[in-house]
Amino acid sequence: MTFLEDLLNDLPELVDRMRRHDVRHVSLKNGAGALALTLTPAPTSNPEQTPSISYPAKAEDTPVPSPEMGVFRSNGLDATHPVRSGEIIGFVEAGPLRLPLTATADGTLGPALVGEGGVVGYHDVLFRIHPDG
Amino acid sequence: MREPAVSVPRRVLIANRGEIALRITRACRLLGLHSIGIHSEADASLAHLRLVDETICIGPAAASGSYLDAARVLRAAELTNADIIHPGYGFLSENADFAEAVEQSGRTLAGPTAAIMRLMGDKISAKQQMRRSGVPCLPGTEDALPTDLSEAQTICDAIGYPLIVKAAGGGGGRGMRVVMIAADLRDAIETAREEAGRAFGNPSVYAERFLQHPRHIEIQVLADRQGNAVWLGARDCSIQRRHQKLVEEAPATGIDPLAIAELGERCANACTLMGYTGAGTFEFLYEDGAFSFIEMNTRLQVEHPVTEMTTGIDIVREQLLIAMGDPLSFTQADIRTQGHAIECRINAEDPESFRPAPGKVQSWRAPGGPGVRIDTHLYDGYVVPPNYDSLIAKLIVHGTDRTDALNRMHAALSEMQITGIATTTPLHLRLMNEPGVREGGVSVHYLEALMRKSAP
Repeated sequence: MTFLEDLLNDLPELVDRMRRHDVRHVSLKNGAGALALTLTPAPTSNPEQTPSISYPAKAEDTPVPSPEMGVFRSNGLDATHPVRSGEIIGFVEAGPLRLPLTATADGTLGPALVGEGGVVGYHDVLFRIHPDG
Repeated sequence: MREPAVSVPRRVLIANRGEIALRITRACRLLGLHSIGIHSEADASLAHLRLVDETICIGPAAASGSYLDAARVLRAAELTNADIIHPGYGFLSENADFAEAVEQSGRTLAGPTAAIMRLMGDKISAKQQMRRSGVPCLPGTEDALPTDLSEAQTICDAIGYPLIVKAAGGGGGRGMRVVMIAADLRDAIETAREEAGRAFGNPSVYAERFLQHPRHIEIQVLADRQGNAVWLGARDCSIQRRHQKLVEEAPATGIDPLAIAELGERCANACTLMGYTGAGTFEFLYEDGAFSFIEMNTRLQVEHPVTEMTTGIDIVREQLLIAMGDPLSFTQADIRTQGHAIECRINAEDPESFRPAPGKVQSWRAPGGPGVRIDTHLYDGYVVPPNYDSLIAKLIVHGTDRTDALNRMHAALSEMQITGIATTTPLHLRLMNEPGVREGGVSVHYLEALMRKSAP
């Protein structure tokens, strides 16, 4: 196994320990590999039960579709967070894969349209990005 | 009404689209089951998705990336915690590898086991199993034809001509060649092998006697996990074009009911012998008073409603109950057929060229009245996508006898309105008045001959 594969396997436990010990940042190095983790705030309710959030779409907003059918994982970004096109704004777990969800435009991120841990369909819209200015 | 055998709610993933997905949704609602509708990107507005308890988009419009993608369907089942998967017909419904994956995931497929699907999916092993069960088969080879063409010639000469060379793993007319004289055999075998290898990944072919003017007669069966099996009457599906059925009816007119009953018993016994579970259909050719097994469809058939109308048994509901482990709630002695039922497949196709005609349905007006049933996912403004089968509705009627059913069908077809796209409705209207159809008992070549005769 590679350093990265080992790390991905251990990630849930690592995150759990970070939460328990209130550690917000961790930097890891191994040979040529290095990784920095920043912990997001813990979800406040049962993630499986979180309903989709109703958010009025505006015509000029750019949708961010899910790359795959799977489980949504938040990146901890708040609504109103400024984002650049291509920036990772969350993840979708599709089987063993953890696929990045990237911003499709520059602008201000709207709230996630599905709760943490929610099941999402192929190309379901997960965020909308409002253009700046 | 009988309640499900288990007290916990059961979650059913409907692995299909269109009218059959709506049909399964209705059965789930009837039984109080939690229904999960999957769909492709092109199908987000399907009618059944408004009625199911949960929906999930599984992939792009292309069936290969959605309804035919076993891994995606299984992932949807995992994500939605489905414990039963109803495959409907077409797509993955007879895919033994999918059935095996469902079994390995700890879920239940509303259908037979993967092992039975494989047994019946290979036409050679299916015929061997039928012979063991006393189900009548055409004279033909016991095994695949040998690769040595001289040996194959000797075997086929013994069967006699005309004969038909068929793909062992095939269906739908592919990998199939009719050989009228011995001199044409070698070319036919080589062509069929090549086509079968390409279409089904299995180049094995076999040969059997070719019937020149047969009717297509089939027996509907239901079998539970406790070893009980029943047959639900016969259907006549002889009005077809290029092996695609267009009109189906029940019962099969002009055939001695005692002969049908004997055949039905043999089919039910065959189910018990092989350990079949769920709904299934034994297909036969019928010529000169004899039935000959063609294949078994290990799934729900498009034409199941004509059997439902004549027996009063909800076949989809029974499929779900069987998948939940319930025994059949009736025996063979309880089954009675009444009257006559006819189904017309309404396809989004040009009624003369049969070219697919996808597009927007401007308006849809369903027919009604006593004995009229319509199974469809149509609504005003629905767009028939070009990506899938062209079946958009099934119009089914039930009459006191065959003439009454034909008259009711004609009236219902006249009343039905679908505007915006071409459909096969005008052809059905014409067929209901054709002397051959009125008389009954036409062969599988009837429709193609009729179309040739009327071609400009």
